[in-house]
Parts: sequence; C-alpha cells; structure tokens
Amino acid sequence: MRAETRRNQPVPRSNVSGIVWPAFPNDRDAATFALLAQLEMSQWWSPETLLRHQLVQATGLLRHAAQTVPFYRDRLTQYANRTKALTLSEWQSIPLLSRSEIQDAGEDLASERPPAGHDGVFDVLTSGSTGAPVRVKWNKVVAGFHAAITLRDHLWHGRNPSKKFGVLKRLADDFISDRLADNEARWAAGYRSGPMVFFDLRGRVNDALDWLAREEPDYLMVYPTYLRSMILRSNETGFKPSKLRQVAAVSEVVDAGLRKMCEESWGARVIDMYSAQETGFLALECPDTGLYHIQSECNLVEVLDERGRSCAPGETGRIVATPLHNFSVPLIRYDLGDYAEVGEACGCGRGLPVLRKIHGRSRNMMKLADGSRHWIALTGCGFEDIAAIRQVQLIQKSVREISLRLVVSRPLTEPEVTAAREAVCRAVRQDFDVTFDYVDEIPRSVGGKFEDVISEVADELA
Amino acid sequence: MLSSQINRPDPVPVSGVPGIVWPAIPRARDAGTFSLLAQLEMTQWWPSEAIARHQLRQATELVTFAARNVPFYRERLAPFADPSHPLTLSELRRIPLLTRADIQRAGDELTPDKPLGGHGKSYNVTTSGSTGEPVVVQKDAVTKRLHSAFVLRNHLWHRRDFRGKVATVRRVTDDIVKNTQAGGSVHWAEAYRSGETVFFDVGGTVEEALKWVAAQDPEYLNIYPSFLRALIEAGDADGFKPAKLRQVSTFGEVVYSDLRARCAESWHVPLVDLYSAQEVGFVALQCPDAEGYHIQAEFNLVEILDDEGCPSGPGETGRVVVTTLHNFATPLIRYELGDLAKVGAPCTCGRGLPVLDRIDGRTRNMFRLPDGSRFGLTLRPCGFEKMAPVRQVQLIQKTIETVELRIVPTRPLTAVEEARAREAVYRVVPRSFNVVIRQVDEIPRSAGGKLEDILSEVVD
Repeated sequence: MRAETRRNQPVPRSNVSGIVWPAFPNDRDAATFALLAQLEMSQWWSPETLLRHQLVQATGLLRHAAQTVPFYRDRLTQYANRTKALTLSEWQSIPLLSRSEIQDAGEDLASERPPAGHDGVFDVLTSGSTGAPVRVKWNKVVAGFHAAITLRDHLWHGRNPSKKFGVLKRLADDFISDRLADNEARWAAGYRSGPMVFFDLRGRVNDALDWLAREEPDYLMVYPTYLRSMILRSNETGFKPSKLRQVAAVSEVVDAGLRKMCEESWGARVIDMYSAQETGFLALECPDTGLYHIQSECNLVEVLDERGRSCAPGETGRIVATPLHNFSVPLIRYDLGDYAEVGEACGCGRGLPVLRKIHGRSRNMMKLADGSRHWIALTGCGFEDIAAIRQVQLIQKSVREISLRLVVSRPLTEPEVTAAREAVCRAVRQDFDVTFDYVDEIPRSVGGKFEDVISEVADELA
Repeated sequence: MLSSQINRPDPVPVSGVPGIVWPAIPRARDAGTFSLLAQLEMTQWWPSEAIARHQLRQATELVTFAARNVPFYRERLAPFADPSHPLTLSELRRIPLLTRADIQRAGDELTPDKPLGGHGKSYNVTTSGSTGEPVVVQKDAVTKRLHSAFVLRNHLWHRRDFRGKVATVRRVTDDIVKNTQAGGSVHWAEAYRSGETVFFDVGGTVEEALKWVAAQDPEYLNIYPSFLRALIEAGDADGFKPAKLRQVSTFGEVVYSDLRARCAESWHVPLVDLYSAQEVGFVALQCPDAEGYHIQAEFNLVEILDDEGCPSGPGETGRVVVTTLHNFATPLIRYELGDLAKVGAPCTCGRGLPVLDRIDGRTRNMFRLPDGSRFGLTLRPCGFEKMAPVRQVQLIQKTIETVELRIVPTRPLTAVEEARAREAVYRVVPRSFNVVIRQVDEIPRSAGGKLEDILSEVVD
C-alpha cells in the first residue's frame, strides 16, 4: 500500500469520552470493524486458504437452501444434510442459476425459514439494462458485509473520511425528501464523515458541471460514460473541478482512455469497482497494481469458459458468483452474464484472486459469424476526433449489420461520415454493413447505466 | 510487499449468527475487541511519526482530564492542560516523572474526583513488587478491552493455533481456582474456538512441574524464564522433552539469550517473550518477524531516557518511562517503571512500532557501584551448581560494598565449598565487594511468583 495512504489512515469515530485513539466505535460500527479486522488479515491469505474457507461457508448456505428454499429443494436435495465442506469439483457440479431463472422463480427463491439473526429483510431491485428487472432480498447480515467491504474500498484507496463525496446517480423520486431533507447524508460510516451530495442523472451534463462547480466534492461516484461526457464538456468550457482527487467508477466498463482523460483534464484518479445489486461487491481495484481483486470473503466468484471449466490466467470467461451470506434469497452459482479475464497472482502480495479486465455483459459483446463473442471498446477508435459527435452507441443487429446511433451538435460533413465509418471498422475489426441513425438522445437503462455497445444477436447459454 | 504480510494464520472467530461461519460475525461481547484489532492491524504498519502524532492526541486527552480531575496532578499538570492544541513531544517531556514512591504516597489522590463516564466500573490491580510495599492502581472496562485486543495481537503475531492446549505456570490466584472449578476448564482465547488452558502454581517444585507438563502435554507453555530454565535442566537430566509443545511464552523476568538457545536445543521450540507490568499492561511484544521487541505504542507511550532525562537513541540503554494512554481511573503519566531497556533501530519487518532490542529488567535487579553507576549481571558464569550441592541461589547487594550470597543447599556446605562459592561470586562482581555467604532453607518468590536471583537493596 502506498506510504502516503499508510501515513494518513483515518481513525474511526470513538464513542467513549476521553478515548480518541485507538477509537472505541459504537456497537453498530464495532460490528463493521469486527468484520474489517478479519478482512485486514484474510486479504493476505493464499488463494487456497481463501477457497477452503469459502467452501465451508458455501456448504452451510447450500444446506440451508436445500432445506428451506422451494426453488432449490429438488436441485440441491443431495446436500440437504451435508455438513462436511464440499470439494471444489462437487461445487462445480452444481447447475448454474440464470437471470431468467431468478425472474421465473419469484418468491420460490426466498427462504421459508431464514435463520435467527438474518432479519431486517429488504428488497433489492437490480437495474437490468433491458426488460424485466431482477428482484432479490437483502438482510442486515448482507448489509453488514456490504458495509465492511465498502470500508475496505475506502481504506484501500486512501480516502479521507472528512472530505466531501459527490454521487451522480438516478435518484428515486422519494430519495431527496427521504434522505436529504436534513442535509445530513454522510458517506463514511464509522468515521467522522464529511457530507455526501447527490446529482440526479436525469439532469443535463451542463447542470452536472454546474453542480460540480458549486459543491466542489473531493470524491465523485459516477458512471464512466457520464464521466466522459462531463470531462469532454468541461474541456470545451475550460472548467476544472478544484478539489477533486478521485473518481469512483461504477456499473460500466472503464477503459484506459477514460482513466487518462480524467487524470489529464481533471487531475483525478479513476478507481473502478465491480459490483452488482443482486450480489454486492464482486471485485475492487487493487490499491497497489490497478488490477481487480475478487472479494472472496463475501462472494465465491468463478470465471468459467464455454464448457463450464475454470478459466486460467489470461483466459476470458463468464462470471458466476455465489453471495456467501445471503440466507434470505440464496443465489447459488448465479451466472451474471458478465465476462472477465482472469489475471495472474497480484504483485501486491494479496491472495485475493485477480481479474485483469472486466468486460461487462455478453449483450455488450459483438457476436461474429463464427459464433465467437468479442468485447470491443469505442474509445481510441477515432470518434472523439469528430468534433460534432456528442455521443455514440453501436448496436449490432445481426452478424453482418451494425447500426450506429449518434447524437450530433450539427449535421456531419462527408469527411466526418467517412471518419465515423473508419472508426467503426477500427472498433469491430470485421466487415459490417453500417447504417447511421441520428437521434436527439441515447436513453440510459432503468438504473442509469449507459451501454455504448449493444448486441441484439441472441446467445445460447452453455 | 512485506514478507510478514504473507502466510498469516487463518483462525476464524466464533460467529454469533447461525449460518455465518466465515468471515465470522463476532458475538456482541467480542465485537468491541475486534473493532480495536481492526485498527491495530493497520496502525502497526503506520510510519512511526504517524503513530507518535496519534499518541500525543490521546495523551492530550489524558493529561487534560488528569489536570482537571485528579488531585495529585492538579498542580503538576496545570501548565500542560490545554485541550485546544495537542501536546507536543517537548511539552510532554517537561512533565515531571512519576515514581513508584509517588504512587504509594499519593494513594487515592491519584484517582479522579469523579470517574469519567463510559469507562465502566473500576477495580484494583496490585503489582507484585518483590520487596517492600506493593503498588495499587485502578483499571476499568476500557483498559480491560484494550488489554484483550493486545493479547489477541500477540497470539496472531505468533501464529498460535487456537485449538491447542495452553499450560501456564504462575501464581495461581483464587480467581483462577474459582473459574477452573466452576466451569471445569477455561479456554484461553475466548473469541475463538480455543483449547483448554491449565494452571500450575509456581510454588510447586520443578519435579512436580515436569510431571505435570508431561501429563498435560500442552501445545503452548507460559512460564517465568527462571522456572523454564529449571524445567529444561531437569528435563534434560531425565531425557524428557514435551511431545506436542510448539512454543514457549515467557513473561515477568529477563530472558537471557542463552535461554532461547537452550529452549531450541532441548525442546526444539521457539521462545516468545513479552514485556509487561501489572500497573501499565503490555509495554512491548516480541516481533514475529525479526529479533527485538515492538513497543505497544497504541496502548502505552513509552520513553527510554538516559540519566539526564534525555531520550536514548538506538543502541543506548535507558530507563523505561510509561504513560498509560487510556487509563482514566488511575492516570499514570510519565511513570518510571524501574526497568532498563536498550533502544533498537527501526525494525526490518516494516512495522512502524518503535523497537526495544533488549529488556534488561528492573534496576532493582542491578548493582550499584560507589561512583553511582549501575551494572546488570547474571549468576550463570559462577557455575554454583557444579561446585556445591545447591538447589537455589540468590545474590543480594546489601550496601554499596557488600553482597550476600544466599544458598539453599541440599546438605550443609563445607568450609571449602563455601570458599569456592565466595570465589565464584567474583566472576560477576568486582573484587571491591565483600561477599557474605548465608545458607537458608528457602528463597521465596515474589507475591506474583517471580524469582529474582539478583536483587539490590541499595536505593537509588
């Protein structure tokens, strides 16, 4: 970890008079720090040790699911009385759970008899970029682990809890009245936290920049595509946020171009994370190397090839996750539909397994005539050199056809149209028929995500 | 990456929530301890200046409180009590030292007029002091919880397997007897699924202790260094080696380097020492990755001072002065413990906690010379056991020029044997001393069970 981070590590808020350091947190925060104490150690365990503990925890979850969750009763019947930890190969023989299965199962995925202490249940609705959202339930145990990993993320990246955090997201209509009425939102639980301020993503980029100039946050949480639009616009106006140190990127893929752009234009580092509403944290960016560490203490994450085998370092496969502590709605071997490349052991020394690259959803990958899928990036292909282009989205209609959706500030000139065609060629590296579709706005998904590549070519699950 | 950060042990605390095994959700009573441990896991790697900065913040709280609420300190600390700005190190160093005699004289004047809320009920702790009056201080729930966190740090640093059995040789108090009788057995790391801990009273004989160790067959042994030495020697004579033993932990007395070697040779296990005192708790723990001891700076602000009161540098030996940062029940501010220790260079393990190379022990276990200087010594070079039928020996400085050698013989010594023993004393003290030999029935241990084979009755 950077020396600077160590030097300025924050001290929690103390609940006992006279005691400032080490702090005596209140009961609620103590529970989070008690988890953190374990995470501080387990991050250095070997991958084998981590897996051993994961399988012990997963076996308990499996038994509980087989006994109390209607959906799993038949599927997992052989594990209903299992006490000895499963082996990895036994684990890998359990069928995958697809998104549509979750949707179809509905209440059948909820435990009929959650164990004591797993109360405080609440619904979590995934944003689902298209169509029906997925509904799962969290409880206070899951929320407790989520809080501990959130803290790990802050500590890994040396955030100063006393500073201001700005969040750009699509806010629910009742959000503002519920949470911001007293202007007391705080972001760093357990610490003397600075304020947290919000901007509703339905607003325009210009408004977002005004908000940024007004609030002057030290940290920002935002979708990468929205961040890109903000930076591009700010470059035009000459605005630069004065206090911003870090941007936490969520929900969409971050590419090297955006990191560079943010660093150069705003002087702020982009820190990525990989999470999903239904599973919680899957991977956090390593504070030392920039790779992604799977959060093995809360999710058993597998990266599988097309035949369902574990991918080796350098290989790209499908992400399958088992949230280890959700006994309200157990998701066992849930196929998220995301793809990632497995990395070698990290140079930082942490044993938490590594993802080198997170590619996002298969629906964001191009499907070629030979049936293979490929992740493509639109940055660095030349679109950003065409001044009139405000926003671009590439939609694959078939294995031969692409529709390029464009938001433009003025009609493109002939040379610009040619340049845009060339940019598509550079991005997809295959021959496609490209049609141009000029629109006023490219809508975001329900949750506010922006997908710059969408494939409408169906895929069969292995 | 630091080598010490890999191959950590992987014990998992007891979880208080059904179904959750790992990471555990510790029970409410353990969560407080783990919330401190989470901080200690990080602070140990902080640079030393960051640690010092936070120590001074905490010391400011204590000093301000003591100046306002503790009669003994009211005048003494008046110039330093300003909560609006943290105490600087140079200000701290201007606060007069607190001696053992000060504590004894002050009595209740050292406790606050009104205890600070939220620190729990206070209780008395009496130090074992081998001679003279014991020192009584009060502790409370806050110091107790911190103590638990440092106990846990020590276990984790030294990669102890909580499933193992711990055998402890010490003065067995009524409390221990009560606990063992009530519950049948006591577990040594309550926040984990841990093995049993069993006790042997230090008043028993070495032969009895050896039989007991053989019968208990523990994984870990807690013991005074002097008793350990006797046990290893007796074991060697019988060809005995504890079968399952993985580690010996020592406390309470100075560990001479040959004892570590002896422990490794005879019993094939490492010796892990710690430095603590009843009235202040943990002062330093042995580094798990390198030689030397790490000051437990999150708990005690420790200064090592030369005779002029200036801080000693690496390689220098000085007096140990401790400020207990969180004890608001009996604030000990710049308390001179009466020990000497050698300051070490920053540790190669990467931890920022300051280093002591060696603990030389109590000044009362050192001899004074007419010029006022002190010297430490051990009795090993004398080799009494080879020249006379002795069971136990103790060398006491009675005056500035007289030492008394007390011997517990297995049979009365002859005049020749006495003369040899007298001569042997000069291997460790200058010829200028008169040596008096006294044959006695017993050399008593201190109330706490320590055996001090070197003792000076010459006051500083």
